[in-house]
Amino acid sequence: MSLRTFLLIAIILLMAGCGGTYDSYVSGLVTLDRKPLLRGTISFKPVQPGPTAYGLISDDGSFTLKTGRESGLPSGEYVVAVVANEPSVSKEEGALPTPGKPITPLWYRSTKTSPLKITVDSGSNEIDLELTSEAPPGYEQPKQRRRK
Amino acid sequence: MGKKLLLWKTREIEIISKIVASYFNDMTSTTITSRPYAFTAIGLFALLGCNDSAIKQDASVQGTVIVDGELATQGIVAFHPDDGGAVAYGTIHSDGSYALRIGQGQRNDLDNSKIYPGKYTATVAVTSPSSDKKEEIGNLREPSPRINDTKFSNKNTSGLMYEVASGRNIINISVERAPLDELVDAEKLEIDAAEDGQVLSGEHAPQGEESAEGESDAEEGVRAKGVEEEPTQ
Repeated sequence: MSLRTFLLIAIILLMAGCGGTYDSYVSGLVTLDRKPLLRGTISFKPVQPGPTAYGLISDDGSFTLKTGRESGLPSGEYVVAVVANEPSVSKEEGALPTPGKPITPLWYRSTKTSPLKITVDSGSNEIDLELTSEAPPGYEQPKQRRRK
Repeated sequence: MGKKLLLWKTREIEIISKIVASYFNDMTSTTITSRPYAFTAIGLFALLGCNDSAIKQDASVQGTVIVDGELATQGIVAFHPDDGGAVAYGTIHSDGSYALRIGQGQRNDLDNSKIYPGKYTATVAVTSPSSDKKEEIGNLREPSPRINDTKFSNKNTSGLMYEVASGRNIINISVERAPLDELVDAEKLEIDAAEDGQVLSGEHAPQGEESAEGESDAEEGVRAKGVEEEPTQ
C-alpha cells in the first residue's frame, strides 16, 4: 500500500468519524417554469416509513434539507412537495395576516399528488427541482368547495 | 411492589439473610439485641435504593412545525405528559425546526436535551414575525399575532398525541391556519356587499386581496345567487 492510499483511507475514516446523524445531505435550486422560486417550503417524504425532511427556499432559490434540527436525511426514495405562497399580508398593525396567494401549482403542494419522485444517495446530493405549471398527465383538479 | 422486589433481588436477600443468620448463630438464643434488626433495616433500605423502575430521562425530541404546508418561522411547541409531570417545550426556529427540553435543558447542547419517554399531548402556538414597531410606552415590541387555529394551542382540543420513546424521536407537527372566516369577518361582509351589488348592477368582480380560494368561492356565490333570482325576474 502506497503512502498516498494510506493517507486517503485515513482521511476518509476521519471524516466518517465526524459524520452527523444522517448519511445523506441534499441541497439544490428550485425553479418554476425555468424561473427560480424565491420563497416557500420543500418537503421530502420518504416512500418507506420515516420522518419527512424539510427545507426553506431562500431568496436566491436555493434550499438545504434538514430533519428536525439536524442537517441531512437518511438515503432512500422520496416524494417531494413544494409549497410556495406570496407573502402573507397584515391589513392592520397587530392584526392576523391573511395567507398570500399560492405560487406553486396545486399538484406540487401535497406529497399525495406530487409527480416529483427523487432518489437520495448516501453522501452529498445536488438536486435541482424543476417545476412546470403544466399539470402532470392523469392529474385531476379537485372539486372546489361550495360556499356554505 | 414487595413481590417485585423479591423476584428481582433474590440473590441480595439470600446474602443478607445469611449475614443476619450468622449474627443469630454467634449469639445465644436468649440475648437477642437490636443488631439483627438494624441489619435487616439496612438491607431493606439498600434494596429500595437499587429500585430502578423509575423512568429515565433519556428521550430526545426534534421536529419541524408546518402550517398549511409552509414552515412555521416563530413560536413555541409544548409537550404535556398525559400522566402529569414536567412539561417539555421548545422554541420554533426560523427554519421551522424545534427541539424539546425540560427547564433549561442541556445548556451546551440544547438540541439534544433529554425528556422523559411516554405519552404526550402537544400544543403549538405559531406566531407571525413580530413587527418592528415599538410601543411608545416602555419601548416594547408589539405582540405578534398567533397564526394557527386556536384549537392547536389548547391541550384538550389540539388532538396532537404522540408517543415519545427512549432515544431519538423526530416528530413533525402539522397544523392549520386560523379559519379565514374568523380572521376577517369585517372583510367578508365587504365582499358580500360587493357581490350583492354585482348581481344587481352587473359590474366587474370586486377588487381586493383575497386568496384564490376566496375568489372562487365568491364566484360560486355569485352564480348561485343568479340562479336563485332567475325565477323571480
